[in-house]
Formats: sequence, C-alpha cells, structure tokens
Amino acid sequence: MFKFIIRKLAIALTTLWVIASATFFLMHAIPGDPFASEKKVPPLVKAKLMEKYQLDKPLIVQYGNYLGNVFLKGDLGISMKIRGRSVNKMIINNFPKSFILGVFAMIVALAVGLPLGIYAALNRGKFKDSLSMFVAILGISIPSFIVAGTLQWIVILIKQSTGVSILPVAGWGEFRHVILPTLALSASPIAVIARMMRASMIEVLGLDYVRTARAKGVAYYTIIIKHCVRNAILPVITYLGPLFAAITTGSFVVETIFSIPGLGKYFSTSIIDKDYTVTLGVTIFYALILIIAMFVVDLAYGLVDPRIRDGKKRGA
Amino acid sequence: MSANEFKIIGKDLFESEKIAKPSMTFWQDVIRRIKMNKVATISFWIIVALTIMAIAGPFMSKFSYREQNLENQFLFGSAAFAKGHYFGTDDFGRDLFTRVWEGTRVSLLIAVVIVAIQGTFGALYGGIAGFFGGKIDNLMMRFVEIIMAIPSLIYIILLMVVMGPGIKTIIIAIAATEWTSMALIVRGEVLRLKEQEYVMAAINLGASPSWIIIKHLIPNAMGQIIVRITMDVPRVIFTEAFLSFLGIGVPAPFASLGSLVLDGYRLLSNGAHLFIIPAFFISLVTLAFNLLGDGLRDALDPRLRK
Amino acid sequence: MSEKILDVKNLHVYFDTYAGVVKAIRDVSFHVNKGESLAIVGESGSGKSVTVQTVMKLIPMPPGRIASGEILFKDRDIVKMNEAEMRKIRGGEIGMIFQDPMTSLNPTMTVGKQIAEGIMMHQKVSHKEAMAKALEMLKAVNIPNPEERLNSYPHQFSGGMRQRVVIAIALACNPDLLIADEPTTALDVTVQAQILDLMNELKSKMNTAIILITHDLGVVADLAERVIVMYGGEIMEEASVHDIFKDPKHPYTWGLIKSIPRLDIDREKEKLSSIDGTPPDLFNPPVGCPFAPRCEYAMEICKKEKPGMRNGGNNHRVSCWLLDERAETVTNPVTGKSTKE
Repeated sequence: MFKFIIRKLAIALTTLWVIASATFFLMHAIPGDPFASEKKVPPLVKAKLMEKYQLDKPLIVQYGNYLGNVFLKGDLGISMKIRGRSVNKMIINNFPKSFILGVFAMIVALAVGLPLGIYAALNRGKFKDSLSMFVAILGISIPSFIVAGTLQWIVILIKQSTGVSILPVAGWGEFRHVILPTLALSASPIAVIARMMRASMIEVLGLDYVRTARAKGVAYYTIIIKHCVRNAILPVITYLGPLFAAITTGSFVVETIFSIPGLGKYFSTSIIDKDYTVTLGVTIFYALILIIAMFVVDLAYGLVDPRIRDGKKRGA
Repeated sequence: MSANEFKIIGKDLFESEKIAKPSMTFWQDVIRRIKMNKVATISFWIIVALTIMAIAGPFMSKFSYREQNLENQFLFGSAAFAKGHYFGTDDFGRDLFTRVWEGTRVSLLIAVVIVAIQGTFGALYGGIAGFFGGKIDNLMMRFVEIIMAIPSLIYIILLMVVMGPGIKTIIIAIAATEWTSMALIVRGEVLRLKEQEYVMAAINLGASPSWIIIKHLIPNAMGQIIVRITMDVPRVIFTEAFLSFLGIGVPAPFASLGSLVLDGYRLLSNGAHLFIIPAFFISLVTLAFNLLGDGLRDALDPRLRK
Repeated sequence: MSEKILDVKNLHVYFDTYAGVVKAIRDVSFHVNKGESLAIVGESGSGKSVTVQTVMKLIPMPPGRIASGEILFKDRDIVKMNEAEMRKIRGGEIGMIFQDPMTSLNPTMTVGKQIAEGIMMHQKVSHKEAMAKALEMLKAVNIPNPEERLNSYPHQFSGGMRQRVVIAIALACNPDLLIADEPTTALDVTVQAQILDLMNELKSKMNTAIILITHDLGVVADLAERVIVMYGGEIMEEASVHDIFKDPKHPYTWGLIKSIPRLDIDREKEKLSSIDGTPPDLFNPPVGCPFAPRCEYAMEICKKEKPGMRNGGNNHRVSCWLLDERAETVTNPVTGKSTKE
C-alpha cells in the first residue's frame, strides 16, 4: 500500500514539473517579443517587467527563476492584457464558481448515470436496455457546446412564443442559474458512467459468486445491491479522475456560452485575446488540481478494493 | 424386430464426428455478426452516405463556399430552397448547403489524417513496449502515464497557442497528443499475443523483433486497432470542433463542421438554421462512428458468439 | 427401507436458443436416499450439471425450461414451486457448492459475513448470533485460527481453504442435501483428498445426503455409495459404487473404467484406451441410444430405438440393448466374463 502511494506521488510530481517546464519553454517559443502586441508600453514599465521576468538573462537562469516562482512562491505571473492584474488573483476570484458548477455536474452525472446503467444491465436485451443505451450514446456523441447552445435556443424559443422565461440562459448568482449549465456539462459524463456501469454490472451478474449467493437463498434485490452494485461500482471509481478532467475541459465552453464568470470562461477568453501569461498560468493551475484529483481517486480506489489494499493486483 | 437388428456392427464414427455448425474464417464471422447488428450496419451506410456527400456535395450546388452575396443574408425556408439555397444562407449570404459539405470534407479529412498518424505511431509504440517488456516497457509506459495525467485538450490548446492557427498546426497538435490510447490498446494485445506459441516459434526460428511485431503481432491485433480507429475519428472531430469553438480551430475562409457550429451559435438570433444544421450533422457523424465502433467491438468479442 | 429425500421422475430440460432448441436432459429419473451419497459421472456435455442445477432451479429460465417431469424433494414437487418457496429451500434445505472456489466467493466481503448472510436468510437470529454460528462452521471445516479468519477476505486464503469456506457456507443451515458440482476439479491432488475427507466427515456428522458431480472416477471411489453414469443427456447406468467398478454392464461405463490410467498394467501388452468420437448433437438428439455412434458393440436396433432402463442385478439399472435376450453375447472387458452369465 505504501509503495502504491509513493509511486503515484512520484508520477504526480513529475507530471507537474513536466507541465510547468513545457509551459515555460512553450511560452518562450512564441515568436516575437511578448510585449510586441501591447499597444504602447511605457519604457519604464517595460524595463521593470523585463527585470522582473529577467528576460534579458540566459534561458537557463530564467527557467530556474520561473520554477522557483511557480513552485516555491506559487506566483504565476501577471496578466499581459489587463494591466497589473495578477494571475493568482484571477484564479482565486474565479475558480470557486467553476468549482461549484463542477461539483453540481459531478453529482448529477453520478446520480443519473449510475442508476441508468444498473437499470439497463438488469433489463439486458430488452427494449428498455436498448433505449437507455441509445440515449447514452447520444449523450456521448453530441458535443457539450452543442447541448449548451441547443438548451439556450430552446429556452429562448419558449420565451419568444409564450413570453415565459423558464430558466436563465446566462449569468450567475442564484440557484436557477446553475441548472442549464449543469445539464450541458453533465450530459456526456452521464452517458459514459451509464455505459461503464452497465458493462460492469453485466460482467458481475455473470460471475460465480452471484450464483453462490442465489444458491444460498439470498433475495434478488439484496443480491443486486449488496453483492453486484458494490463490486460493479469499482471500475467506475477509476473513472472519477477522468470525469473530473472532462468536466474541467467542458467548463471552458459551457461557462463561455452561459456567461458564467468562472475560471473556464477566463481561460477561453485568454486564448482568444492571446493573453499568454493567463493562459499558461491557468494551465499550470489546472494541471495541479487535476493531478491532485487523480491522485485522490487512485488512493480512494486502493482503499475501497480490499485486494489492492493488500498489495495484490486487481483480479488476482 | 428381426434378429438381424441385434447383430453387432460397432462404431459409426462418421456420424459422431460431424460438427454441428459450419466453420468460417475469423473475419467472415466478424462481418456476419456486424451485419446482424442492424444499428451498426445503418451507421456504416450513414458514414458512406456522408462521405459521398462530402465529396460530391459542393458540386451539387451552384454556389461556392466562399461566394458572398450580401443581399441574401440569413435566408431560410422554401423561398431560399427555390433559389438553390437548400440549407439557407449565412451572414455573408454564403450558401449553407455548400459550406456544410465543405465543412464535412475538412472535418473528415483532418480526422482521417490525424487518426492515420496517431494510429500508426501509437500502434508501433505500444507494440514495441509490449513486445520487449521489462525495463523498456516500464520506461515507455511511465512516459505515457505522464502524458495521460492531464487531459490532452490542455496540451493541444498550449500547442495551438504557440504554433498559431492553421490546419497543419491542428493536425500536428492533435496527432502529437492523442496517440496514447492506441498505444495502450496495442500494448495490451501484444502482451496477450506474446504468450501464444506461434510467436515463440517465430522467435526460435530467428525472426527479428521488428519482423515479429509487424508481421505477426500487429495483424492479430488488427481487430482492436480497427475498433480504436473507429472510435478515434469522432474524438478527433470533437476536439477540432472544440478548438474551433475556442477560436483556435480552422481559420477563415475555410470551414469545418466545428467552426460552422461556432458561427451559427454566434448568429443564433439571426437564424437558428445556421446553428442547428451544422450541429445536426456533426452529431450525426459522431453518432454514426460511435455506433459503428460499438458494433465492431461487440462483433469482435469472442464471448458474445451466438 | 430408507427414505427418499430426492426423487426425480422423467425430467426433460430444454433450452430455447437462437439456433434452435437444445434438449439438454431427456427422461432422466433417479433418487437419493436420506444420508446417502450419490455420484453423477459423465463427460462435459452429458447433462450432469444441468440436472442438479435444475433441482435448485438455478438454470436461467429463459432460455431454459423444464419441459416435463417431477422433482420431488421431501415429497414436494420443486417443478411447481415459485421463486419465494425456492429461496427458502436454497441454502436452507439444499446446499450447493461449485467448481471454482476462487470465483465462487465475493472478493469484497469478509468470509464471516458471507457465511452469516446465508444463516440470517433462513433463521431468525441476530447478526451476532449468525457470526457466532459462522465461527463454528469455520471450525467444523478445520480452518486454523478461525477467530481471525472470520474477518479475512477470500483472496487471503489458499485454494483448498477457500473451498472449505464454500463448504461452510453451503452447510451453515444444516441442509438435508448437499449438491457438489465438481468440487475438487480446480484443486491440487493433495488438497483434493483433504476436501473429500472433510466432506465424508461432515456427511456422517450432519447426516447430509450428497449428490456429487464429477468426471473423475477416483473421486467417485472415495466418496460415493451409489453412482449414476450419464451420457448425452440421458442416464446410461445406475448401480452401487462397488458394482460400477467391479461389474459394470454398459459399454460406456466399460470405456470409462478402461481409460483410467493404472500403474499395474503391463505397458507392453495393453495400451491406454480411450473412447473415440465426440458427444452427440443436442439440437437433434439421436432417436436411439445416444452412445451408439461411439459404441464398439452397437447394433442396428441401438440406432433406431432406445433400450430403456433394464434390470442388471441388485439395485442395478442399465440402459442398453446388450441386456436384451436377443442380443449377442460379448465379453465384458472389465470383468473378463461373458455378458450372459
């Protein structure tokens, strides 16, 4: 178990370092003076910035300085477009909103996806199964931004024809603002979770220990929940990491579409505006939280499956 | 019953050795199973139809994809249809029908090129890792783990920001990051196949590793490779569409389905058709490939033999 | 007269599949007496597993179905019982163990809980009491350190130990009948012997009847009192274990006995014999005797008509035309005597 943790930790740190370094070198690979696009940077400010970023020193020194800034001070730099605005401040300001949205989306994804998958598995081969899985595959196939756009369009249409505005299509602040974005964000994850759960349940239902339980006289629903779901849910736990990642990347577009002032929206905006420091700084931040999330999930899985706990490989 | 019937005649093995079902080759069986899967078959034909339209579509219309006519903005409906604008027009008066098929062409082409590159690289990478095993495998997989630690979209966005927009850069960016799943699949297959006797025989006969990998292992992993390719195409189309939505996709005046959706979204209030129609087609393409990929995967699964 | 605890009469079990109807079991009749051990022997596909799984109604129905017949357990017909009644019987009155102990146990549940679960299903006891009983069962199957092991997970046991746990689960509620479907096939030979000894011990202690399914005649010799030989979904021969080995009367049984490798045969003179051919097609089962195509002593009549169960001695039934007075006399390859003596 200990070895397991150490290994995962090592990979996490290495990845973070790789991302930070890649980010640094990529930033310096962008052709041209980073300040070339600035309209008019007063020479004093420019000199100060050059000094702060040590842009006149050799690359290696800059790299070392950069790593020091990022890892030791946690300083991700200053926005290039919005004068004086620090990237860190922007993240602290905007991330919580994204986080709330993300949590909602995850809860919905699990609360709808898991039962759907179980339902499909129990009705395997019947129409109910095919229907559920078709809906699921629609969820996977239709990109989240199309779902988002379509939802908005429907609400606007309803408003135009009936005058009733059932849900807000933009903005943030009240609970009802979160409904449509959550739907858009969770559509794909619901589908993926449903399919995974279904496959896992079907596999578990066919396993010998289910037969043993039946031979003991255990009731049908007890078998389903106590024996099957508990074991079938394990592989789905490994999906929680990628789920977190999918919701994070999904937030880039969903927040933009629904005008939610979250980190995703600022990230997207920075790309369009070519505000490189923000883009790269936020990238490092995302990398950090994703790595932490994956690490936590790996750990959780290790705790839940007693076979991993004892150091055996899954399936032994 | 005559006494004759009680004479001992012994075994009749011909009768007992007859095997019930006719045997067929592996691939014949796979194709048979796919045909039985109606959904997958329909998806296949949809893809064929879309490909044909992608090639022939723009020729079917009298407009070109960039021909502007500012007097014909936002047309849609039977009047527009009569003028030859089957899907209506956009904010520059450009014909949507033509642009949709041009867009499909671009999306499919990009996807095919990327999948070909990443598929080949991924397969070789996974094949080498799986075949050699041990330290080489460890190292190679460590590298893959690091890449897979965060969503490839972030790498892609970074690369796009650095390299600037353009079809070439999109291809490079996506192909460079999305090869990992193919590598994993092929490695898994190779590890499984490695244990089989014909591989050991080939090694003993002195075949070189590259010979074995290319001639024996990869062909036998073909099934899974094909499934992966089929599922990768919609993923690439989605990624490219996502990039377009962020503004770093296919640049004007070229159009991909993704950029058409973005443009359509921005102009929703002027004409929903600009959003809905490209959205429909991109979803259709993705759906068809996903369903086909699912069907292929089921057809290849020996456990589901009927 | 010993009491019959299980009486199967003219059982037909079919499976409706895409490719047609598989007639897995045709006209099977046998019984088990209280406290006795019966072995059902046969190759893969002979129908032995389907038979016993039907007794527990564990076969998936659909696509399986009991086409006709009766299964009388303690004078009640199982065929007519509904699911609720069956659940009371499963585990409570009939216990069953399967071939592979590794996959028969839930990997994420402690062994103690798995035993206790069965107990609480059938007896109104508290969780504590059930765990106490589970502990007793672990002791009864000779698991060392039972108090500790109660909270262990299946993967922490060796194969033989796991099978003991499986037996503990099956016998926890003191059932009248234990069905063991190839219980030792997945185990090492030395462990096999231990498990069989354990089963013998428990059988006498708890007076449980046992139906043992196996293709291994060595296991039969160790544990069984009576033997049924099945082939192609039908019963070929039924006799005491002594008769099956010392005086078998069906050519299939002869083939089985002859194919047991023995250390005392002179290798120069006798080859290890095997039975040529493959099992019959169950979509279109043969009209006559299912073994006829592979039988050295087959006659025309064997292909046309089934011989039916004939009397071959004391509590010895044989389904073979050789026992008909019109048949030729042949030499029994096992006993060396002529068949008509």
